[in-house]
Amino acid sequence: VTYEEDMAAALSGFVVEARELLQEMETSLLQMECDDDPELVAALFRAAHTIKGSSGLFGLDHVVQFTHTVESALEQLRSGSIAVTPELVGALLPCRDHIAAMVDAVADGVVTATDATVATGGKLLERLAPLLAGAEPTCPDPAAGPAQTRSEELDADGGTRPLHLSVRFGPDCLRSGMDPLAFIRYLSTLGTIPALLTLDGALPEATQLDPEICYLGFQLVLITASPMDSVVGVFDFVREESDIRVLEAPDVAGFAELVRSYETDSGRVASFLIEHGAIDASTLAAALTDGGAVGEASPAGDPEHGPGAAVEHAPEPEAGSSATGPPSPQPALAAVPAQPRRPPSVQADGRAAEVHARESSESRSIRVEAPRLDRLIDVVGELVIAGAAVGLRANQAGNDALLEAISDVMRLVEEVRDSALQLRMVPIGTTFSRFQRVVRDVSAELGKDISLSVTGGETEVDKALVERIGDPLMHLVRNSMDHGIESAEVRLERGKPARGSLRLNAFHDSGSIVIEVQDDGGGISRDRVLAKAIERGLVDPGASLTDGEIYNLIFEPGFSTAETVSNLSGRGVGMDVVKRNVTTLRGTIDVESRPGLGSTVRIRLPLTLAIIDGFLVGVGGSAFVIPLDRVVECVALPQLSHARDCMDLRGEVLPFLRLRSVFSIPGDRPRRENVVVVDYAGVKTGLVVDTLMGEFQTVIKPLGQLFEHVQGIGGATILGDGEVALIIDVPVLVRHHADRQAGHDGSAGFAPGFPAAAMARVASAPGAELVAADPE
Amino acid sequence: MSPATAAADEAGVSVAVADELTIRTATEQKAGLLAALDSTTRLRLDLSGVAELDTAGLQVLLALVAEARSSGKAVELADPTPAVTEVIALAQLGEILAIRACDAEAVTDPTGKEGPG
Repeated sequence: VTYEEDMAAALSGFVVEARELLQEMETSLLQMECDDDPELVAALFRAAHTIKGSSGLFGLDHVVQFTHTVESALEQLRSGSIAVTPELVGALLPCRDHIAAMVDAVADGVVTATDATVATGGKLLERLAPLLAGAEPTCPDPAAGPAQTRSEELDADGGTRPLHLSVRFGPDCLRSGMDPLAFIRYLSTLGTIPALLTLDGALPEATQLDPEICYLGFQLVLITASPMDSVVGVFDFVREESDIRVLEAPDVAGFAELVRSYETDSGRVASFLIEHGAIDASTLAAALTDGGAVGEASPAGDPEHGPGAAVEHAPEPEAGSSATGPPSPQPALAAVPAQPRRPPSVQADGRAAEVHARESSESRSIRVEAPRLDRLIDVVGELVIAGAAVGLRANQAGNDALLEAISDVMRLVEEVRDSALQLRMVPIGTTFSRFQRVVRDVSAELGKDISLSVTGGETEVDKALVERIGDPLMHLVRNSMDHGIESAEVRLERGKPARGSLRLNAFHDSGSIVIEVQDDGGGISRDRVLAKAIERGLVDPGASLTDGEIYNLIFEPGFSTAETVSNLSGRGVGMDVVKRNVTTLRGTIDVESRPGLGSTVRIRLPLTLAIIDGFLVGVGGSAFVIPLDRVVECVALPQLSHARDCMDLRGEVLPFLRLRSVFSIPGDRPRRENVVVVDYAGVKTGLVVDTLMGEFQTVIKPLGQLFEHVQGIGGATILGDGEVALIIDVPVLVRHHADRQAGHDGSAGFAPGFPAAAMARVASAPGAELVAADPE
Repeated sequence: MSPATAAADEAGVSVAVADELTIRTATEQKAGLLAALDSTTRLRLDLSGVAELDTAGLQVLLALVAEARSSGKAVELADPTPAVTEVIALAQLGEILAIRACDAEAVTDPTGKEGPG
């Protein structure tokens, strides 16, 4: 692996991480408006901060610079010097977007600022500036020099001030690719480093030296406007193994503890601190001899204390090395307070603990490249098929012991399959949370006040589905906001709260995931939809349709886009596209509406695209798989039903389809036929088949391009004996059959149907001959 | 591949440090440089080939200089690349790792290796 490849890999890791953090920022920003949880601001700050830190490591100076300013604003927010206002959130969101854009550019290989990014960034910051408290420290003041190191000159409004850093990395840091010098180089971008002391006291004799172990430590003065936290945060990556202390005068106890913590260099450190105004010699000497009794820290700095004057007061290396006083009072900001002496590897302050907690939660999840997972699922799928083949052989051989062994194996295979599929499952909440932003932006655009509530975000669904359902959902959400929810005046007139509400909900329902987009708007006007559909030739004027059927007409292609009644967002994409997307995912969509109260669009999707539990049936020489979650029951076909297309199922009329006719399978009907009762959209339909062959787990193989337009077939699978079985797409099959029915008798079929025109489309669709066989 | 090539002259040994002085090469470089120091009382390091210097490399230089000092020898750094000067400036080690500004000729002034104390 070359260095360049290493870098490219690291950079792509950065991009992935940054995008996640940006998502987090967005979520926090949006939540902040209605929730004053300080943790949100803290999370926001941390996210910005980490992005800045890792950008710095990759030398992405433009990202660092911009993010730094944003971070300073967030710091004001966190410290409470400014409050959360819609204006502030409104200014910060585009800043986040700008960072996202820069990160995207980095992903595309643009690692420096372009004129456009600089200009955009400048504008955004201009907009942000008036919302901040006092003089905003947009960048470290380069004029700040050593002369300013005394705390008396500290500008209380957040100007530059000297911080004293003690940086001791763990012995293994070099081996793990962390170069302390790189960190110091990075620190120098946060401000100026007027003084730095390289501590080589721990460096062994040359012959004993293992150059791969880090022996050096650094004591330095950093003059910066950056908040303490961001300075501390530079070391987030190495905190565990290192002893990093960031101190600010007058932290007498902290400085004393720092000096004490050195074995070999304490004298040099002490004189360095004194020389650079961190503490005066007598105070330090007192603190060191006094152990824990330094609580009443005098303001550091007798200003008259000349540099170097106190070197003789510097303690001996051993001084106080065994002293372990009670924890001393710390200034609130000192994020890495000194602790009773402990090995450098232990850092036990609140922030470190928190970082640690975060890291350990990260280590509970592993990032895996999607193709690897796909490969695993693929192989597991093949394993299921191969297992079925072995089972078949064993069955034929009639070897009971073998059969028993195989059933054990198959049980395990199923478990492996389930766990493998589980790996692909992600909560849908991450997709939902994107919509907070969408709703916010679109409501501002439309001048409506709309709130979004999300429920069922923990519902898990196949990642491939989650990715592909985003666009249809986006369309539905925009649509509901645009056309579903009325303007505030209308709402008040109708006695509804002025603030519209939109709800995204998800839940599992018998092998499917159901996603609902619900609004409390005006609902869909039944009559106008019907009128429009008749005008467009989608329905016969005389047709009698149920309300549900009428509402669902809005998903028909050709039902137009702009300036229609209803619910179309007028963006040039109709609801039919939404429906097509959902159907491609083997899902269904329908809409429910109550006039004046709002409407609900319900998307029902399979949990996974890769494997289904099926029910294997035979017709003539062909085998078909019916998704098991559609199967209600199986009954024998009554002899009397041969001439008809419906039968009596315990007093109900059960319409049925003969697969033999539907798929034009040659051969005569056997004497006994069976009916598999399937359920689609709450309506039962029978599928007449020759033989029932039982449950069958199956890996869905997509049909080749040639067959992709075939209606009623969702895919294919390979049986244990090597034969191909077609997987029946129940919704499509039933619906198209219903269309045909409707076409015959001019009335709605037994399932939601769309007569004449819809049927004509079916007949003209490529491959339609497969389903066009007359069932009569 | 030898990281350092040595050339003896009347004023001591001159070693050209080729390659980078980083964690990747430091162990190897250390052995080579110590061997070179062993062979002379005055070691001149030609750093013109050091494209990269990191903490590991810096430690080797510091240890070498310390070793020389403790055995009364001299180590002289010459012809640094910008990478080297940047690190020495950053670590503010200019006094310990003094660079000889003028090049080549052997000099008797030992300030180059004397630390502040």
